[in-house]
Amino acid sequence: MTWASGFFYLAFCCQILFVSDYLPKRMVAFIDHVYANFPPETHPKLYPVPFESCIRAKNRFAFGCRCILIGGLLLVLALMFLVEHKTIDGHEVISKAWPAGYAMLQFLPFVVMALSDVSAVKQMRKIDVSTIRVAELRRRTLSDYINPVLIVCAVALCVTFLLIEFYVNNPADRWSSDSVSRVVSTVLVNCFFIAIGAFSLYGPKQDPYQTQKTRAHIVSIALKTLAFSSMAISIFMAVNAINDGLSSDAYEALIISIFLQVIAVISFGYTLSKTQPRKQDFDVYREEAI
Amino acid sequence: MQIVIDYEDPSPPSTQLIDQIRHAVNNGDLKPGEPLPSIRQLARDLQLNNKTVAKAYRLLERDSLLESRGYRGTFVHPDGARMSAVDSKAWVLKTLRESVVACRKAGITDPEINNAFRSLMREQFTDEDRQL
Repeated sequence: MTWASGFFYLAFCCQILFVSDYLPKRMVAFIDHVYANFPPETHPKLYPVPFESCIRAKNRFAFGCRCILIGGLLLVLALMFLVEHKTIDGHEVISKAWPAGYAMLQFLPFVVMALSDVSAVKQMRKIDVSTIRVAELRRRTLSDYINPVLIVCAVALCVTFLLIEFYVNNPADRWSSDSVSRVVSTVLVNCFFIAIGAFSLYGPKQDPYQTQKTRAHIVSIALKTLAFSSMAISIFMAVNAINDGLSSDAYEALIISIFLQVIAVISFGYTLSKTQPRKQDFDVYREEAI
Repeated sequence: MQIVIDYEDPSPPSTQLIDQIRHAVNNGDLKPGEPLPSIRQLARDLQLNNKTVAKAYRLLERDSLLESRGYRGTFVHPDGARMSAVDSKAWVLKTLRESVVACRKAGITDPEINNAFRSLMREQFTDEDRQL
């Protein structure tokens, strides 16, 4: 086992433990806190579907994450002792598909959870019988929710990555498929982030009971998460481009695993730490609330 | 500053919107030159048709409470506070009441007044008529 492989196994273990153990535990703790402090008896509007279904969904999520955690740890052992990796110049090269593919599986329960949340909010809108609509008579601008410096940093990092990509892998000299996919995927992901940001800022309110203050808080977190994610992607792509230019495949899997953990910290970790129940107005979900 | 629209209220949403903006300008909640949300933003937030909000903004612009500055959006008119005191609805009611009273005194029946009013509303007015 080389140093690069050793670091990769360490990073991959961290990835599995962080995404499939630490984050789900925090998420379940958050859900339990909400269920305990804002139960259906006092906050019926928070539960557009039967409470038992909510409990089942939470348990399914926890169980799914636990299975993926065990599977992941077994996969690390298999990669260490059973799978034969290719060697280049005497160095063991672990395919980057392992951490990337497993991360997709790890994020799957979170995606399912998010989708069920979307359908619950949709159900909330359907059963909302209130004929009163409230809006803030104030123009929403990007700078009210996110520091413009963050936006400038995200754009600057994206441009820096493109310059590095063009400098290291000169398209006039050799324009590899990896370079094309990096540039295209970075541009597309940033366009997607802009679309999500614009929708959360200017789009219709999803939760019909949400107060303007809570909405502003959630939009601010969403925009910051998108900006941080964009920065992380640009840095990752730039490191990958340099790695590609130096033709050091031995570190690719390690870089991917670290990057995925950074993305998990930025997206789920940041959102979980900032979306605290005390910063949200749950009184709007009471039966008597207008 | 919040806008509250009640769909069960007998007055239409555009009227509720106009009244609340007028009130906000009048009591200083909205200061002269302050930007207002875009038509699309307000329509989405209140779940109204864009045309309803556009109509409300247009009528408030006509009364010099708001002013549109092209692509920069809609703002409170510098004379908005003064103009908000002018109640155009009350003025229209007063003028029409005087006309109806005069017609009745002259022995015109209510259906005749009604028909005359309707045909008058269908007429295309010239600029000269408007100035009168």
